[in-house]
Amino acid sequence: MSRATVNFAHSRLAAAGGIAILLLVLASLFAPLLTPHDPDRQHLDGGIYLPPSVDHPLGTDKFGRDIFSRILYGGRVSLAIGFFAAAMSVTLGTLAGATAGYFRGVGEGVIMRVVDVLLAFPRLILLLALVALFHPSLVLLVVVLGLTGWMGTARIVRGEVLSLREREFILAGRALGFRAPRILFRHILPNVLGPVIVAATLSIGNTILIEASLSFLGLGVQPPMASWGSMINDGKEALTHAWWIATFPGLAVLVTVSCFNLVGDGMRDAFDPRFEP
Amino acid sequence: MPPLLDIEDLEVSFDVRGETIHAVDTVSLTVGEGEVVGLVGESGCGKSVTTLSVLRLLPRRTGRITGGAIRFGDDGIDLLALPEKEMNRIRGAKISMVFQEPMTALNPVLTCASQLDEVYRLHRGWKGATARAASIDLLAEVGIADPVATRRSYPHQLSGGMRQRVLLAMALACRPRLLIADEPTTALDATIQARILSLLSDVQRRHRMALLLISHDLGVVGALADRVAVMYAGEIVEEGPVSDVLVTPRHPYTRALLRALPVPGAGGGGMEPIEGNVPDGKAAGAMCRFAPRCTVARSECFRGHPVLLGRPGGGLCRCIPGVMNGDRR
Repeated sequence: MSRATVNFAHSRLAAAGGIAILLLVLASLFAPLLTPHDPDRQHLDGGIYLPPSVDHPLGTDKFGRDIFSRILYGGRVSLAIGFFAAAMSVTLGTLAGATAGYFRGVGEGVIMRVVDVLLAFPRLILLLALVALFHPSLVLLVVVLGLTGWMGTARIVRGEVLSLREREFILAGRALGFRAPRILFRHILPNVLGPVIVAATLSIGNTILIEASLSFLGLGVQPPMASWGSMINDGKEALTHAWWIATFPGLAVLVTVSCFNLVGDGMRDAFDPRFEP
Repeated sequence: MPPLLDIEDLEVSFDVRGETIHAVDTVSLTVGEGEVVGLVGESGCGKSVTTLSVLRLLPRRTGRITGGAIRFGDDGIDLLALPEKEMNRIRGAKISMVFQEPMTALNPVLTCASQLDEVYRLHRGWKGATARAASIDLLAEVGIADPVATRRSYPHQLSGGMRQRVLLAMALACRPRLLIADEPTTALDATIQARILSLLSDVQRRHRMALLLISHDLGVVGALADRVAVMYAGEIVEEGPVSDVLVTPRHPYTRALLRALPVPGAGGGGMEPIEGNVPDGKAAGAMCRFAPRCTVARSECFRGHPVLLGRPGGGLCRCIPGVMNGDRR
């Protein structure tokens, strides 16, 4: 295949991922209109473990709750946590990396050593410890995920800023009397936007995955609120006789995370002229 | 009346991998009000370091000004002693700088409009329509045919010559009293060079602005400057009126530079390269720094470091009198 074809296929995948994410976001937003059942409503009398049917497109769980409705409502939680936690970690990472890269000196050493130490911890263990310390809530999840996910962005941004600060237009800006904060925020950061957007997109997918893991372990979103991770957990004992309970939320995680990764990769290629797929 | 810019005994050194490099060694140079001074020399002789020191823009981690004073303006304030905040009121407002590479000296992600308006907002407090009108006038003044469209462009949409004009406009925005132009035409092709130079000279005369022009091109300096200073290995070796220094050069280095110029019609035959390289500033012993490359060096050139002496025709020359006056061995 020629490079152009590969390029085209690649960007088509990224576009497909983007469209899928858009559909997913819309479906979660308009969940009340799209779902035939209340996601938390139980039907213990004869409504449990129903296989997929017209009335319950993806079946029901051990309490007789509609899986399809729970996946859409759970998507709200997963997407919101992923989005806000990624926004927080990317903002933190950008500020930390830009400060380290532009001002150098002792601050740079301190920031980058903190990054090294945090990266040396397995993130899930760190999260488990942090979540176990407090009463689990959505805000806590976002904050904790945000605080443990900024290091990669910090490294990327620091590297970009290190090379940008030596460019002639920065010297020219200083020669015009621009002060350091103005140079950093107005002249350097817009030049780092591309890599930051890529990092943010990939980070949303990754955060959703981690949130699902935490919820699977029972330390994330608390019942009865629906979450993909906890739904998989609910379904794991019933896997042999009611496979749909764990499978569909698992597929939801898989598709969502893959789509964010496709879009992220596509944007990285688009922003990086050196890249040849 | 004191000169507008008075650099006195400036010393700059760089710390590179644990070694100290003396890039500029007791350089003294003045630029009068409305005067055009050329600073010439090979790459690495300290021209750019000298001018970056004036605006205190040396690389913060490695470059150090170790001695001297740089006085500026009617009251002769020492720029080297000024707090950074005060210095930022001088940069771009009273002293501006134009750089060598128009391709990289504009921010690629901002339009010319936002970069130009920013200078006005910072130094004059102008915003919106006022800044817009002023920057359109300014772009027209630097010879841009369609200022409104150029203002809206991103740097990559403009040619090198256009970008240099935009950069010049940014430097001139606040009507500085001194413009430092560091090889302003080196990166441009010959026809554009000539136009930018005549624009520079035009603007300089119209605003009675002082101009410190750095170049390794003696032709450029000869065309624009009133006075010229020749630098070699971090020190000034000859300085005086352009009409005299470039016509009857006294220092063997200046003569060698002139002989290295291409002679039109000679098919490159008139060019005589200077053998060897500029010393790296590590081993500055007690000898003439140019002596190892000098074609007329004598034994005494290797025994003592010559001082700047008055030269016939005005100005100063750092050479021993016998050699300076052209006596051959």
